[in-house]
Amino acid sequence: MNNWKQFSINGGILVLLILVPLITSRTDVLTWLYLTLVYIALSQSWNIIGGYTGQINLGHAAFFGIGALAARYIWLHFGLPLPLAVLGGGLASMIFALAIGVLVFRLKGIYFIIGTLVLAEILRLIFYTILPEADVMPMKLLGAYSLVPRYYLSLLIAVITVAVVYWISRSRLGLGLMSIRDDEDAAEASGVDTQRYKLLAFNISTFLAGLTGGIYAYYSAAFRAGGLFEPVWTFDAVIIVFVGGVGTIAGPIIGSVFFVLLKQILSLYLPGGLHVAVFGVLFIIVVLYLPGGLIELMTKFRKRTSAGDQ
Amino acid sequence: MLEVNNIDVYHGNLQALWDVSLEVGEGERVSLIGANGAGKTTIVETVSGLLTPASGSMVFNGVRLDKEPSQRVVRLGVCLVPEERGIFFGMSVLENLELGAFHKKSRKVKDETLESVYGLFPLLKDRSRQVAGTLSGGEQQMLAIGRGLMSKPKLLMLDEPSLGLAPIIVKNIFEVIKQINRSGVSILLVEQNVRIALGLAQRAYIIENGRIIQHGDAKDLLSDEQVKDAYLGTG
Repeated sequence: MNNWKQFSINGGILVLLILVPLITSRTDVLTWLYLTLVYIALSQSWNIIGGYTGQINLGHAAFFGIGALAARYIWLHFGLPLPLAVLGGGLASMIFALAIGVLVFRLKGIYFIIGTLVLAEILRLIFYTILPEADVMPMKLLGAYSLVPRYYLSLLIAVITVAVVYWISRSRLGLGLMSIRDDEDAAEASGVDTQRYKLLAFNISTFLAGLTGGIYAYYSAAFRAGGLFEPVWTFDAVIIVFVGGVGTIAGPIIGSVFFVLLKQILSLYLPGGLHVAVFGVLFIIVVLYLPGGLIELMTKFRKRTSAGDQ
Repeated sequence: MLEVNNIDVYHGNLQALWDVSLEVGEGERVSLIGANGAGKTTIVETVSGLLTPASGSMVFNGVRLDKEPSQRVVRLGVCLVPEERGIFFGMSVLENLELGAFHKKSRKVKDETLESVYGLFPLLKDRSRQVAGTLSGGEQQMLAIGRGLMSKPKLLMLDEPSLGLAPIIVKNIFEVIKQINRSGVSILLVEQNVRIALGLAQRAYIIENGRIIQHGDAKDLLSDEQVKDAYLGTG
């Protein structure tokens, strides 16, 4: 009964999201939804390695960036079809993760965090240097630019990402990942191949981050390659996951809706870039006083109201 | 069943064990006793594959263990219930138990094993949906042992199962350990509480500063003047 209810609510939301471009052509609404979906995909992909596996990867931007750059080149410069390009972006990220995974997982705790952060920074500097020119969409494409297919691509990738996390959370893989998060030594002693599982989580997470980069490659009229590796891509995802509810499926979704909404409102009323400071403070408050995130707040509230009903 | 021959083990550059040899027979209950920091935990961690000996060998039922990673050691039938229990706090009791049956061989018989674990610890069945972090210390120890059993071990190693527990709960847990042993599982117990350890075990090894200084029948050790003096405080 409860499952059925959950299923029909999710299905209803999905159908509604599919219908949106048919109902309205307001670009502000579509852009807002598009951004929310991109953030869902980005934060959910981080949630796999950071939330479920407990490995605080602060180099997530690197995989978003590689995915975006690879997809852009395959699509625009090599002229292959878009689906291939997006898939290629995901694969490029994953291959990079495979190459450096063994290396970064030699690091533990705080050193892993610093190592991954540095990794993304190095790539950012490299790409600002070797590709200093802005990558601009050709006039022909810009003339025919429409938000609708971009919106649908973001919806597709967001749904895929959420589905993958849902599957992980109920699988043996998820069990292994959560055990690593809770106590890596005990997981090892229980027979979990912790190194292999961490690599697996890292590859899935970076593949999905690469796909998300692919959406951006398709969406963005112009960007500088280095900008794809800016730390903000990582930290937006981290903040969303923690504010929404770390290691849950609904957390990053609620976090993304909240984040985009607040960002839009704040950037209207606050002078340039100051909204980042607000998010910083919010992040600290959540970590200190609400470690379960908004999800925890909602369950508490629901429990209280249902207790009141009885 | 388990044979440890002359192993030296290092923590980084620090040598923790010197020339340690010991044996656990089929169906036997063996204790490792000694003061804090003597190297007891290091021994069981080395056997379980979490640490690698620099020299010497370890053989379990004819298979060399010393170069095997711990997930292989678990599959061969050696399971460690770690010190301070190593419970996965964020997961439910049932998830913790399922994690114990992580490798294929034990996963196939997971449901039967779960029933027998619930038989030993009925409390875990009542709490199966509860988050493990909310269990009391004694319940966590039961869960840790239950999780160890889920891997269908032939040798169960327990590291300080009495740590931080009330005497009445310790008594219960040691009763269950005996029961587990009666079902055919060998026991290697690490304990600071020498009286309890010698009460449970048939044989014991005494560790001091990383070396085995004495071993023998538990009964003999209990009445040994030196042991009484050093560990039982009744000399």
